[in-house]
Amino acid sequence: MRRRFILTGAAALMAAFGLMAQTTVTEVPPAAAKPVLPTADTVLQRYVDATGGKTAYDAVKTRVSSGTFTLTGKGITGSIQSYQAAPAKSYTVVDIEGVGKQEDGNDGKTVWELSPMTGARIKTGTEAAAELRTSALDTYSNWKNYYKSAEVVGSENVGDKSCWKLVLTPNQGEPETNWFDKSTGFLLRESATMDTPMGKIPVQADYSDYRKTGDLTLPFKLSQTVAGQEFEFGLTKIETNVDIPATRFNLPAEIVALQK
Amino acid sequence: MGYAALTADQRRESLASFDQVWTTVRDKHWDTSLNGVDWAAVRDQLRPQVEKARTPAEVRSIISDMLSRLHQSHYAVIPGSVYHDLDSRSSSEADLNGANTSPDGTAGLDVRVIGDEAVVVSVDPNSSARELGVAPGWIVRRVGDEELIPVLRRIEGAYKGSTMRDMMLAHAVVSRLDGPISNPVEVEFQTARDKMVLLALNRRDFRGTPAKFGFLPEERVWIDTRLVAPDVDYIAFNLFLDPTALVSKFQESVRNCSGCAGIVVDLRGNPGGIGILAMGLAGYFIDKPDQKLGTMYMRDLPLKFVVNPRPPVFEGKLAVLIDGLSASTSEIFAGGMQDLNRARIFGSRSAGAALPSMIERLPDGDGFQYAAASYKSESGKVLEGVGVTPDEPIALTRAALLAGRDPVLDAAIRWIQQSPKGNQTQ
Repeated sequence: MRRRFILTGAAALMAAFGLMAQTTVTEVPPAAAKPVLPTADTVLQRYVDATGGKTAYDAVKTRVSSGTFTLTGKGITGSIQSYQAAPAKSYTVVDIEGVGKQEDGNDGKTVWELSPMTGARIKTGTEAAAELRTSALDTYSNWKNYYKSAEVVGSENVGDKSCWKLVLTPNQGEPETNWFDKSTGFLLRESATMDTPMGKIPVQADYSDYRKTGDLTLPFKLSQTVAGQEFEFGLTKIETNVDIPATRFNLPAEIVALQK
Repeated sequence: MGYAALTADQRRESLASFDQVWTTVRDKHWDTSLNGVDWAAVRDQLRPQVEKARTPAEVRSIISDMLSRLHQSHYAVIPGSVYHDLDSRSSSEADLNGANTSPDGTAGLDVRVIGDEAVVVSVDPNSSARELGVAPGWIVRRVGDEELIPVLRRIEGAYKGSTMRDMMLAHAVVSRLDGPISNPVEVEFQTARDKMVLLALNRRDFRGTPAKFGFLPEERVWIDTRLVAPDVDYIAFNLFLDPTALVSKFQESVRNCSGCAGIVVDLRGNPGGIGILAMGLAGYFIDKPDQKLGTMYMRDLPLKFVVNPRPPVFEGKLAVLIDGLSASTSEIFAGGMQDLNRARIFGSRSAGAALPSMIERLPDGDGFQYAAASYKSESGKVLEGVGVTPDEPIALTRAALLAGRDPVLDAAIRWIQQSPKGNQTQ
């Protein structure tokens, strides 16, 4: 489970109302002795093992998630449906009350978004690469397919949880930082910068409420901070290896029109 | 002449108000350098003066002095008494128990203050005002038992020199005309022949479809589209809200007129709404990718308002109509399209409220207005506190309204029909 469900348009939308919030990482005070850092391979393998193991990840060919969307503190809510298929196809629709459907997805090649507010757009470059990477079902179990390097750079707390802090450098795009819980191995936080036409937008995603679903243990709650706005996705159902109609990942007509 | 000192409660409220203003600017100003002002030093200098102040006006003056150190627009203290003038229903509104639970409705009149007179600019065809013969160009003299001239003079004084003057003046009149549906509103008009008539206007439901967005109160959204000449489409809407319905109707109108010589988008009276809808609507008129309407500068990052072309893009001329009540998203759209040379702007200067300038109430009852971000249109113009200046300034006159003309729309139609099609904004 590692879809960021990023809503760049929605971030700008809320910014227009000027209400901003910020979350921060609490740094652990420097210890007297420098901690011995594990290798990135060790931390990532621990995460994969703690959440079901590589065999279980490799067996996942599709995933369907559904739940709720909340723009924290603004009274804006909605629903989310997300479809993923190996190796990295995706379609997500967030239906926001008072705004309408915000859709994004990819057919494995073309990465796109569609919104009643901002229209249709084909994503390119590092933005598209990031979307394909986070749409993959095996991002961590086969991380070397997506990242050219990974390094544990320190130890930091996320809330009261002591974490290993990893910097992963993707094959295309800027480095991303992940925090893995030392005690459970779970991914608790991710920080990255989205390179969008609206500018470089920092994104922080906090993962929690890990639950076993099928052979995997996945986070059912995502709290995101995008451009200072806080969003929350509460998933109520995650199903794996369910049939998804092949047409689910077809490009919408508005996107096809942009390709002409 | 001496004044009694503030009471202990008043002093406490004054200091709390000063502190609230100072802290809000420190924490929410988009520029962490606060325009280079030593904000702590300003507090140290002025707070003791609040402690010694003898009147609320003195306190207000000290807080205004503090805000003036920023040398930026849209930082203001609004006297508590103005809230009464801006938002009060006429005294006939209260029922015998002093309260009225009837839902609000509209008298069906839209008003602009021209000179110092509240002039009717449009009358809803379904209103009792229309049935009673009220027409554009009539002057609203009194609402209930309240004469408008003193009210307008007070607001004029409070907003003298502000781009928001027109908006606040019109709001003061319309907020008195609208009110509980169960109560007719008694209005004294000066007719076209300058006779005084007293009419009781029934209020009806606000026009449009209810739209809800977060914690904003429910608003009614309407869109009006029609041909105003055989080859000129006209689109007007009252708010940038309810994107799905609004964009769908907007798109239908644009596409139905794809071969037209031009389209008029009328944003007069439109106070804005969802900011990025400006980008979405601009996409029907911009065919090149990576074009920007402008950039919003928040404390943490800039956000570019990039337009996504929505093919088939309309290739004819685009005229945008604005006035002093066109604010926020309306200004982002108009200012950006002007900078991109894609639209010619007609009317009068917009409200210069291109951003969420927020207004909070202070402990002493005054209002505090502040901007939470900066916005520059594509050419680098700051719209906040300045507004969009029309390419073709046209003042609304009572004489034109009485003659049944809309000089701003007329000019736009004339430009579309007379200019060569290939030259889109000149």
